[in-house]
Amino acid sequence: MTRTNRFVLLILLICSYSLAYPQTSNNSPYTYFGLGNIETSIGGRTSGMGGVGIALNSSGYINQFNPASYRGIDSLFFLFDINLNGYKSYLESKQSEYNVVSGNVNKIAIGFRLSPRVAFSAGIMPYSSVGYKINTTKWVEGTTDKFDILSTGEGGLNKIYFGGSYLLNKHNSIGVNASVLFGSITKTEEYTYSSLSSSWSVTEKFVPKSHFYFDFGYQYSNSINKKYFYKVGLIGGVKTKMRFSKNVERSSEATSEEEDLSDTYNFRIPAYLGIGLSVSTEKTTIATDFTLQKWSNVSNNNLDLTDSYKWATGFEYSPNKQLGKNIFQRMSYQVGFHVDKSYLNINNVNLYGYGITAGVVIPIKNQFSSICLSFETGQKGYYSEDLFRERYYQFNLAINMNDIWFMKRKYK
Amino acid sequence: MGRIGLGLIAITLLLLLASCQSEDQTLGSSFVDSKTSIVYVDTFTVSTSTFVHDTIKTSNKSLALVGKFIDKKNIVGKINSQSYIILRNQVSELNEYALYDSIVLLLKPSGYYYGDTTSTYTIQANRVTQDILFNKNDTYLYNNSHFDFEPTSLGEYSFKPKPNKKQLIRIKLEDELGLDFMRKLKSSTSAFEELGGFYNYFKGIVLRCSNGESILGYTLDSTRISLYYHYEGSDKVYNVNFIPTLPSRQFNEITSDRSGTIIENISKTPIPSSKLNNCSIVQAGIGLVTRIDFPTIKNLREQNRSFDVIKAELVIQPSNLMGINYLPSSLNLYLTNKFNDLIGYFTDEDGATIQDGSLYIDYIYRDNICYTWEITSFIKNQIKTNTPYNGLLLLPENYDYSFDHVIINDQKLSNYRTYLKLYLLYYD
Repeated sequence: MTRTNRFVLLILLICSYSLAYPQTSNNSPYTYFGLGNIETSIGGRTSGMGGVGIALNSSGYINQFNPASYRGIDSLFFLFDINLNGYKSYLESKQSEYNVVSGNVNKIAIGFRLSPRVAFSAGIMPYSSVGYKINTTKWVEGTTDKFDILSTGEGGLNKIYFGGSYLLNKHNSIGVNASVLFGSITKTEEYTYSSLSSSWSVTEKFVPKSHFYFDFGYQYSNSINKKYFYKVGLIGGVKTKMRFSKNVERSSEATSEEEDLSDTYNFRIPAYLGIGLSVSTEKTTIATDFTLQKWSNVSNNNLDLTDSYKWATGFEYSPNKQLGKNIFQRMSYQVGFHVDKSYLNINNVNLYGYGITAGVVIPIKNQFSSICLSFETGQKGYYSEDLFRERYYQFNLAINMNDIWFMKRKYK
Repeated sequence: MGRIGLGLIAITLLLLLASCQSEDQTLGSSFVDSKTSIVYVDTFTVSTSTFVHDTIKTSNKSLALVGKFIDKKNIVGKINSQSYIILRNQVSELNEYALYDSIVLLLKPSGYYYGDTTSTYTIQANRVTQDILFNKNDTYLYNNSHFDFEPTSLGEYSFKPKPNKKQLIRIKLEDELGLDFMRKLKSSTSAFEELGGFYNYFKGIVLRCSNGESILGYTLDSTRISLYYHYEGSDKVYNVNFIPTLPSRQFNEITSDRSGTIIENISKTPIPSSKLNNCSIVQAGIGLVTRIDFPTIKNLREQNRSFDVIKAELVIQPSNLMGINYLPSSLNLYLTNKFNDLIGYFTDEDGATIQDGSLYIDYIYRDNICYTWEITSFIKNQIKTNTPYNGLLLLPENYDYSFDHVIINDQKLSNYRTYLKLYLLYYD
């Protein structure tokens, strides 16, 4: 495949990405709050390992968890990652239950080495998603009547990031991702007062204003002896104010009057810090990450927020990556888990979640590229009258393509 | 690579197709913290006042309204209605051997009646002595238009009204008139040959009620004066007819006598209900109009909250002084300005249909009898803009050819059963 063709495919995928994404988000009423479901797992090569990555290298794939990891991109290769996922979840409270199915292409990224010390990566991936449809009623003040409210939210925020890493010396590297958000979140409330047979709606559309925010990363790698290698990673970001333009549209069925009210909306993202450790041998890798985000330090429009964290641990075993006689020996096998706490505090309840993962990495095309298939099951939320538990099954497909661009050029 | 690409696209499409959400949507209902609220308010002031709109167009209705109405409770007083009709000849000449028999005025009841039909009713026809003409630059005649007529009648007839039977009423007229018509028709130089020749000579008749307590309607189509004649040596009776013409100049003159009533001094200037025993009055025919204002509605603007009027409904309670059977089935609303002009029909939200405030009758609890109109768009305009149309007028349906009246209790007297029901949507 020529480079032109590859770019055509890339553009096609980006198009399908932007078309698909707003329609198929994580359909959960919890996304009613704030910016919705802020993604903590971003699929990819380590999705079978509980989604770890702070202390892992970008070798053969792009590890966006830690921008300092880009230094692992081989100088001969051009990396191209695509991630797809399919999701099914069962939502249940003491009152009712339903299930949700969704799926889409959710990440596209490229990466390559610019110089012996500098590597670059860029890509598109989800930042947050909103998808809910909630029916409720409210009293008509001064009467014994109620009116209906149908609250719907859809859309999501994606980010385009541009990242670079710099190799300080043999052991230390630093990196940064500069991201800009795009996409939109649309929240609509439709009011129906059936005894007057009238209905209205208010639609609020949030579109992020273009500005960059930054994630920083650091990695240290060394070996204990000739057999054991280890890496320590740190990631972090500072408190950021995300600015949105808010467009409000009110309309009523009877008079088709429309009123436009525009405003701005700010959402504050608190500082976060993540630390990771990995130990690997020729055949095995074990890694663990812990990330903490201080949501209690920010206030966002009366939302009850609590500090969120995620702890992920994963293990990978590769029987014989290089010289395996058959595909099963050349494949890698992964297991992992994660435990997390959401930034939302609803009715004084903290929402915890966990997931267990398993996956395989299948090398394709002269073993530089790979397909990673992983499966995750877990639950999040809280089972009660008002709140609900989400039990989910997630299937993830990551395709990591490597092409020896630069080598070709050398031999021309 | 190509295969992978195709595979990717196929998987994407498959996943997209699979995206769905089932219908149960009550999960998370406790999360929804909608800023929007709907508030019902019925405490805004509805003020009513009464005035007389003394020029009601009563011409060209093809209906002669003749009679008297006496309000036994003496709230609206007495009404007298008389009707002017211009006639023309159907033939312009008559055989000179024709012999005169009689002349008769024939009237066909339309079925309309108002008042007490149990008492005897005497109708008479008088000869109009003045040309029935419009005022300059006008094409209408009004309830207060008047033309002179001869004080002595051409003929009269008394009967017990049975308006539903629509039986033809025959009034024998003076032979003098019949003979005069005959002479004119026989004359070789008949003035009746020319167009308008007849009504230049005989300017018309006015139908009046000299005695009675009801007002009856007569259809113009079947009204005629018949002149009967025969020939010598023959029993056969012939007739020639004089039929109504110039319908645009046919009109009803309606006068009222309000002396001794609470509205004795009513004029073009509205009198608030507080000065009329907490009542206001509408009456068709003579043009008693109730003006309705909402003096406090603009206060809604001062709240500094973003809101919308979902629905505004005006409810009006008729006085229990009214017999249920006398209440018209609907009352119409009209837009008005500060000069009390009748601007136009009050329409529905769609701007097309005329809003009839339909009558709700509660036979058990008479306090609940009311007329109701939806006036959402009017109230919206009152709140949001400085429209010149700042009030509403209330009139009975067909106010220009009927006599219905309604006495309306104001808010105080109705115990706030005359009120404005307002549903407001607050966005924040």
